[in-house]
Amino acid sequence: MEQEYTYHGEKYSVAINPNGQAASNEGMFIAGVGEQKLNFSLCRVSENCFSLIIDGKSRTVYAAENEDNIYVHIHGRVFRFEKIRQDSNKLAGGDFAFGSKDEVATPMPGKVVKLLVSEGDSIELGQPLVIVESMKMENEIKSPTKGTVKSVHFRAGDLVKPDQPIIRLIPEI
Amino acid sequence: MRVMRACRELGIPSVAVYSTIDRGALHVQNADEAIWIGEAPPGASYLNIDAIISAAKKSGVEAIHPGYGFLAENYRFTERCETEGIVFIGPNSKAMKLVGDKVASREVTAKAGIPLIPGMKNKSTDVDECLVEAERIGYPVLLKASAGGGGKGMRMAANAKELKSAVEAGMREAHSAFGDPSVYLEKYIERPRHVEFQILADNHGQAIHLLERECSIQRRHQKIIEESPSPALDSDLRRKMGEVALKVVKISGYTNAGTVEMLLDKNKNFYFLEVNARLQVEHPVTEMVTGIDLVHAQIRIAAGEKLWLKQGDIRQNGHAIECRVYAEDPEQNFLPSAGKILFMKEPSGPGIRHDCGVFSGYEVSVYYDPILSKLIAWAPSREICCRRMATALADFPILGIKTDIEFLRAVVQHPEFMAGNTHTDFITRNLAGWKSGGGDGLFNEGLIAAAVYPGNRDKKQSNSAQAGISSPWQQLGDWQIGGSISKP
Repeated sequence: MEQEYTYHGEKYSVAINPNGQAASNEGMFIAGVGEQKLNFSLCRVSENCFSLIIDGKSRTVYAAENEDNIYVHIHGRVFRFEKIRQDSNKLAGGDFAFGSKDEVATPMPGKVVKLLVSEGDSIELGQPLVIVESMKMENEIKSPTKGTVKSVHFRAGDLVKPDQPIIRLIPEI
Repeated sequence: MRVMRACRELGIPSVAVYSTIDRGALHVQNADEAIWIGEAPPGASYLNIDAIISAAKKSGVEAIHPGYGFLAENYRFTERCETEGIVFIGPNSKAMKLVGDKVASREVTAKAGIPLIPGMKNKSTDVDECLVEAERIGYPVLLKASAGGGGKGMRMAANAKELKSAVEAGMREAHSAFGDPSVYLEKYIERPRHVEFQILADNHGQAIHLLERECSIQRRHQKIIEESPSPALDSDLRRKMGEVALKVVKISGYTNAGTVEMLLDKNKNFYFLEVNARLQVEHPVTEMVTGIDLVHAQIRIAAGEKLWLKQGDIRQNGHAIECRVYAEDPEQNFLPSAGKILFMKEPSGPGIRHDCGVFSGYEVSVYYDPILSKLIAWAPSREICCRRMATALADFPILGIKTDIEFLRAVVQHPEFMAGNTHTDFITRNLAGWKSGGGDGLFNEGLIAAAVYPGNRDKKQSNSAQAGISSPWQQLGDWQIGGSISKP
């Protein structure tokens, strides 16, 4: 069976099967990634750590998960793989917060400091729309599109979370 | 944490103060006693002088160490301690007031003939006044918070239009971070190095410097990598800059530990910037190369001891680099990243020191500065030190939030960094648009690792003796395996 994850919006699948041809079958597997087949050996060390030898290269892996993601650390690099959930149409993870063209949200929780546009304003691509303060740092959120401001949902001083649209936009087609 | 360790080493018990959200923080867990002082917003707790003084009286402490941020450079707090008869472990309030007021300190240092960058004579809260002054100084100009440090509220402006919005935003940030919206402007010097001198001054008029730190690697005008010695100084320049640093200490009547910050331009001219009236985040690199514990020194000086070292006793041994680990996203303009640390493992090895405020399970809050820890490497030479740091950074997983760890490794491994070509524009010049990975070919390995990880859940119950010898069927845990499989 294949295991599927989303990484930066793209779907990837991995098929893992024991390697029946290996001299010793203790912990020997074959991974199918796309067209590639990779031989590896696996040794689980602790709940968050295991050792892989992939095509002869030794890698210590640290991993952890929450409801939506699996985080993997290999040789100084961290990957966040989003789990694909059957029970929801919503993409796991937070990228929709700034990915959408008709909604403006903050990538992290904070306080609205200043709104730079109001309902009905015409806006340009990249125009600053709102200033949000998070961790004592001010961040300008810029418009993802050229268009018009449809509605503004927060006022200066309000606390805002990443899944809450601050401003809705009508993109110009 | 750093301060509590030093106290313990000197046989002094410590009391921590904390806000509601910090109940589970390391400084609270590790103190001998802990007192709640208010809710999470700094104004209600860590900036609340009355609450802190009343906690100090309740616990009967003899002295207060203010740490690095919050009230550490607020002379009103120092004054209050002096009035209440509590020893403040830091400079006297008079000197702190003088060096904390950038405009007043400019006047005093200019009179003494200390080299300065052209700038505004007065601090301001008026946009129009700033525009007029900027014309006089000449663009580009740098906007700074009058009461601040650490890059908060600092902005560069190339023209009047940019300056207007910079002043507005800078004043708001200054107000929220330091409780004072005043800002001032100075000429922006292109491609300088940031070099600072650590100083120690006792209450009896004696002062020495503990050599320099170079802190040129910055993002958002905030230091992220510091080292000692600076690759740009020779012994002659080091001596000259050190003498100027001590002169600044003398004319300002400064006491205890402090830092004299200077800019060094490409022609080796240097300009006095300001005195940081506190123990700095980057103090460990000085400790590593001089062997002097700065917190011990702070406490001994505050207790009234005469300086036990002479300038000639200070030796620079080897090389040290510090990397600041922040909860932030280097791919998104270093935007802070909050959330829960699902797992972390601290790096270790010869010459590695890790001053850390977080742990697996720690919730990174949106309320405070997103610094998580400081990784320090010491080695006999700069070259080995860079490699030692890179190795430690590669073996330092923090999972669940974004951090700058991989980016820091890209800096210390960069040929320009290795060559000592460190200027304050290093990141924009060499690593603009940096992306994680950079063709390291680890993606497939990451994917395989993610696919086998769920089997590790069983590890919670199993013991380590079984680790390497269970059959693939057990190891695959709650996986379903399909296809045709032949077992030999």
